[in-house]
Amino acid sequence: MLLRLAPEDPRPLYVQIASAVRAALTSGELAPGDRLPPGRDLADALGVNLDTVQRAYRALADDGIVVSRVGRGTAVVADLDPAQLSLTEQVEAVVSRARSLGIGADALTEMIRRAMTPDV
Amino acid sequence: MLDRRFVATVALPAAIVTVTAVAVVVMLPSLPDPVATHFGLQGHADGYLSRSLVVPVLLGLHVAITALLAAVIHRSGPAVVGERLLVALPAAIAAMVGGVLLMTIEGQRDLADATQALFSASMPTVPLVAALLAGGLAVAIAPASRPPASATAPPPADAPRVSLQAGAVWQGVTPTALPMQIAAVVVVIASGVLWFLTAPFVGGITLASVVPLVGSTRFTVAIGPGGIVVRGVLGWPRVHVPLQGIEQARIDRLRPLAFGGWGLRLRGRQTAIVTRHGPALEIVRTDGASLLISMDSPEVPAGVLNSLLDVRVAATGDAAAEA
Repeated sequence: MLLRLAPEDPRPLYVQIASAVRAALTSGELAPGDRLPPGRDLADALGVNLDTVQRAYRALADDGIVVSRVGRGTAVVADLDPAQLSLTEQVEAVVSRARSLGIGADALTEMIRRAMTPDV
Repeated sequence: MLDRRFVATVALPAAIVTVTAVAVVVMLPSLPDPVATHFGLQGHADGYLSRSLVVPVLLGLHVAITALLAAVIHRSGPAVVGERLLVALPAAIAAMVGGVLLMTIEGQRDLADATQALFSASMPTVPLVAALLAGGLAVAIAPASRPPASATAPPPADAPRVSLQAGAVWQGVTPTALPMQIAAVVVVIASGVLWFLTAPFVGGITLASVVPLVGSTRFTVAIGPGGIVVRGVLGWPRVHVPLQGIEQARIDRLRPLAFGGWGLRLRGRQTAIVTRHGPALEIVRTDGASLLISMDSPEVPAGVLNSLLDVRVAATGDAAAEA
């Protein structure tokens, strides 16, 4: 399993790690049900605090992408749909873009509804 | 030659052997002939050695074992893994073997007949304590382990690489070591047999040796900007080599027979984690020591490590240029 980090990424490291896991899932590098490395190993390999890795894993668990079990480590949820995850990522990118353009939720929802309505 | 590591791994064990030899020679005239050298489960003597053979055979063995261990370990360091344990070993073993020898004959002084000799609890415990103290002293004498110098140049141009712009983390596993699994099963069966055939504690001690066997059946490997972390299935043994001290990563082949077996092995300046005969990842340190790990498709982790080294050397080069 290879997780790539982007150069000069201004986001906090735990966000970058969680994002790298997501990217690995959408690219197929990581599959649903796969186990993630133990926090301590990932922390040592990255040269960061165990805390940072645990924060990343918690963020992924909060989003329903991984599940952590005491004694069994952290694993990708077995019934995860990488295609849907990819779509979720894209939605987040669209929302982020809309925000930066000053477009509100109502306007954006209207745009989406119009795009989903078949031409009459 | 007369550096602190030499003192810890050669001079100290030699001193322990000498002290033991002097004590044995002093005690010899007061011992019965033959001398009791083995005790049965009930605590009574059941094995003897002619008194005239105590010095050539028992002391001779002590000298030979200690000398062999000291020679091997003196030539093997500093090791990538377990350097402190290695440094402690010659002195600890010298103290333990010497302690067993001395405790065995000490109780027989001024005894008319060796058949009256009895096993006492101090016979195993005093040597163990002496071994811990001697090992601790050796570690205290030896120089504190310093990480090897940082590489100043990137790995050779023809070394394997992957496309990386910044950081990356790679994780994989070694192939499973089937012989270790088989050995573990054999040990469990043997423990059961011994439990009922001799005594429960004999079976119990035998069973305890299954732990390192199981722990060496498979290892996980993680590579990143912090270096490389290799961990056995049970969590130990655990090896962490920081990126600073690594010169390059290569592809090699590992033969279990060349390293004397499977699991965590040491041969000169090479440390190997061997699980089967086949391709391996080799990590070369700047001080010449290397770590080899059995891996399928080692070109991927090797590529990740070399690319991370490229990034690191470039970054430190930039930092130096700015300074």
